[in-house]
Amino acid sequence: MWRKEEATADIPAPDDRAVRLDRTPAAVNATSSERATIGRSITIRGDVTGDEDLLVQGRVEGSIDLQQHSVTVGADGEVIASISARIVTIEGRVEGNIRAEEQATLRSSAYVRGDITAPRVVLENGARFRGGVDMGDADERAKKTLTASSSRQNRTSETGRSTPAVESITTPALEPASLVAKGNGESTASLRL
Amino acid sequence: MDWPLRAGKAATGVSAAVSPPVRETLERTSPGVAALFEPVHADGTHAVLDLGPASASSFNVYGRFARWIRFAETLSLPLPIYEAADPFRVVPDNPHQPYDLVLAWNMFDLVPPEARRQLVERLLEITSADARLLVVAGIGGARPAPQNFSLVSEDRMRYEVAAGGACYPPILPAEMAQLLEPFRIERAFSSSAGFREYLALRPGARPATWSS
Repeated sequence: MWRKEEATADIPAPDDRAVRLDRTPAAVNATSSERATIGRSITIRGDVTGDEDLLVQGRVEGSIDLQQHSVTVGADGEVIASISARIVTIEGRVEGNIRAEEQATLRSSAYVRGDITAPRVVLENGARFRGGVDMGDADERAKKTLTASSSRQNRTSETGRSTPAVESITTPALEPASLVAKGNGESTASLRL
Repeated sequence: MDWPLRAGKAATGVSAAVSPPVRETLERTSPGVAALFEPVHADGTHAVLDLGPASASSFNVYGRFARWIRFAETLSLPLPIYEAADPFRVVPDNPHQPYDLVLAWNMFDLVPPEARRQLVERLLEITSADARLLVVAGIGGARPAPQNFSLVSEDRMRYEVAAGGACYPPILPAEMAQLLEPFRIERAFSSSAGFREYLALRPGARPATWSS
């Protein structure tokens, strides 16, 4: 009546099932979207620490310390504080120092006044920045790039889904500009910075 | 942007703006920039000070050479700061290593003559003994206007007229040489764009990072 082989095949081992569930895209999205948000109407004065990613749309005065996670200051966000995280992305306004273990990105809408320490820094066209950048020792920078690259590969193999590509660039690519030669090596760009 | 000379400041000898500046962005080869970077190794060990506003393209160029990059945006200092005893104290030093590449752009055209020497003194405090300094200045006869400069590559620069303001009368080459001492003008280039580019070196032993 019961065929032993079929029954065995239909019921996967618990451990195996757990692994397969984790590899589904839905599960990955749920995990990666786990981040706290400080809303537009919220103001926090003090130190912010935690163990998940953070999106700041409101105002923070003090410090933000999320060493193993990413911090994004949204277009409406304002941070008068130092920020320390693995990946820092600025779209709004920051007055304070930024320390990123992996990468700091200043989007075109960013206004940053302070010093940035990160092995990879991306400054997009239009970003307003006044301060200094410390990109770290060149050898350590290369080492960190390799480490970050291999950790991304590991995450890809574990989840079966590639993480958003973060190119191993230290600086942004040159922006395109339509140039009209005027002679003597001079040209006119029709685009503003 | 708050330029040093703005409407309402009746500075003697300042060339007045004749017509509203056209916000045209120009790009051209820059022999001064090429000379600045010519002997510098792209080894990520240098410290760069840019007195102009930050730009992505400049950052891209500096990133090939420098570990430390600072955009001081001194060009936009509010005018009253020049009345202070030491107005350029606001230009920060690099606590890790003195700057060895400095791009002052047309800062000296924008600073009142009596404050220019203070800028040089501050640069002497925060640069290394062999620092390389790039200065751009308006040429006599051409009406200088405040410009925002940035780099496109290691031998090209981009500039546009900044909104509002005006420059002081052009600094003659001999005046510039005297002003920059002990920086020694090594090379100077005149361009059809109405600029003179100066590469000045601070006398000192060349470290191993410079090629020949």
